[in-house]
Amino acid sequence: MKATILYEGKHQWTVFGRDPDKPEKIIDTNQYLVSTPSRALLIDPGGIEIFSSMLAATLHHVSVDQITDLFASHQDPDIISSLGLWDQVLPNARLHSPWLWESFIRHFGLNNIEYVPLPDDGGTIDLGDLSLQLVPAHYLHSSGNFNIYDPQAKILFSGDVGAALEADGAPMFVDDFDEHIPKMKMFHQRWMPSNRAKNDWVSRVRRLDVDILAPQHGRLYRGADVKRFLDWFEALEVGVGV
Amino acid sequence: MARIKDERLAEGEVLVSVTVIAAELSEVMKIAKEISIGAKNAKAIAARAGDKARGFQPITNFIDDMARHTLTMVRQIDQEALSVSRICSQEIRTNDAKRRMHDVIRRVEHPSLLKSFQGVVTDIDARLIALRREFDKRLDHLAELLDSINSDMRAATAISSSCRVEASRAEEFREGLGVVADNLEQAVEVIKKHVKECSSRLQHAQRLKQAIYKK
Repeated sequence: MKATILYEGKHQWTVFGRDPDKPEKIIDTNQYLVSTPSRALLIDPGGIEIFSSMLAATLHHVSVDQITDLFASHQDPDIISSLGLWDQVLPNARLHSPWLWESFIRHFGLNNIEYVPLPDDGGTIDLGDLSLQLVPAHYLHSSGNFNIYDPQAKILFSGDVGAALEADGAPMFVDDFDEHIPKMKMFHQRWMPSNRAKNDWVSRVRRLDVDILAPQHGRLYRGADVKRFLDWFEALEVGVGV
Repeated sequence: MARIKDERLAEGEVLVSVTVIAAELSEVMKIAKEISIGAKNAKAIAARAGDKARGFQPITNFIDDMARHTLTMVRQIDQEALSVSRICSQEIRTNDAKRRMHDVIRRVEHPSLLKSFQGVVTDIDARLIALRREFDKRLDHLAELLDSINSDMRAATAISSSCRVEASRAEEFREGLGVVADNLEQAVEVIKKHVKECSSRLQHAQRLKQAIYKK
C-alpha cells in the first residue's frame, strides 16, 4: 500500500492508499494516520479486505502500542468493516464515531475497543499534545458524519466530500482540477442528499485555514485547488441522482 | 479422518453442523410435548377404566416423566448448541484474524518493525487455543446430552411394549389405550431418527475439527 507523508512537524500526517493487492471490485480508499511521538490515530481505517495491507503499512510508521485511537467518520463498510480485526489487535484503543451509529457499528465486532460516541455538534479528539477538531458533516453523505480539522497542519480530512472514482493507481493529488471534475461529479450528485447541508458545510469550511483537503476516496486537493473545490461544490446541485 | 481442502470452508461447515442441531431438535421438542399431552389423555382413559386398566396407570406417569425429561434435555441441548455455535463463530473470526496477522508479518519488510506486534500474535494464538478447548468441551457435553435422550428413548421403547400388554387387558378400553401405545411407539421412532441425525452432525463436526486442528 502506498504511503505519502502529508505533514511533518511535531506530529505527522500520512495517507495510505492505492493498494495494489486490493481485490478488484472493491472501491479504493484513503486511510490516514496522525501520529505524535507517543500516540497515533487511524482515520477511517478501512474495510476488512484491506486490513492486512493497512496494518502492515502502518507498522512502517508507528508501533502497535502507539495506536491509541481510531476514528470512523460514519458507518459505511469501506470505512470501518475491519473493526472486528482491529478490536483483536488494539484491545485498549478508543473508537471515536458518531453517537448515531454506535449500535450499528458494533455489528462489525466490538468487544474490547471503547466506543466514544461523538455528539452531533462535534468536539475534539485529544492525542495528548495534539488536539484535532471534529467538524460536523452530517448528510454529507451519512446522516451522522464528521470531518477532522488539524489547525496546525492545516489539513481537513473531508470524508466522502471531495471523493472521486478513479482508475487504480491514480496519483495522490489533483494536478488539473478541471480534468478532475468528471471523476467526482456523479459521486457528489448521487451520494450527497442535501443542498442545505452542503451549503452549510461549505460556509463553515471556508472559515477554516485549509492547505490540504483530504477525502476518503480519490485524490487530495492542495493549495488553490481547495478553494476551487469549495466553489465547485457550492455551485453543484446535489441529491439529483434519481 | 476427514480430509479438508479449504480450512475456511471447513470451519463454516462445522458452524453449520452444530447450528443445525438446534433446528433438528425443535422437532423433537414438538414431539415430546405431544407425548406429554398423550400421557395426560392416557391417564384420563386409565382413570375411567378403573380396575380394568390398573397396570396402565403407573405407566402413564412414567411416560409423562420421560416426556418432561426429554423436553428438559432438548432445551439444554438447544442452549448448548447455541453456545457452541457462538464459540465456533468466534473461532472463525479469531482464525481469520490470525491468518491476517501472519499476512502482516509477511508484508512487513524489516523484522524490527514487528517487535511491538509480536505480543498481538501471541495473544491471538492464546485466544484461539482457549476457544478450541471450550469448543471441544462443549461438544463433548452436547454428545452426553444427546446420549441422555437416547437412554430416554430406549426406556420409552420398553414402556410402549408394556403399554401394549396392559392395553390388551383393558377390555372395552383396549382400543383407546392401544392408540396411546401406538402413538408413543411412533413418536419414539421419530425422536430417535432426529437424535441420530443430530449425533451424526455432531460426529461430522468433531471429525472436521480434528482435521482442521491437524492442518
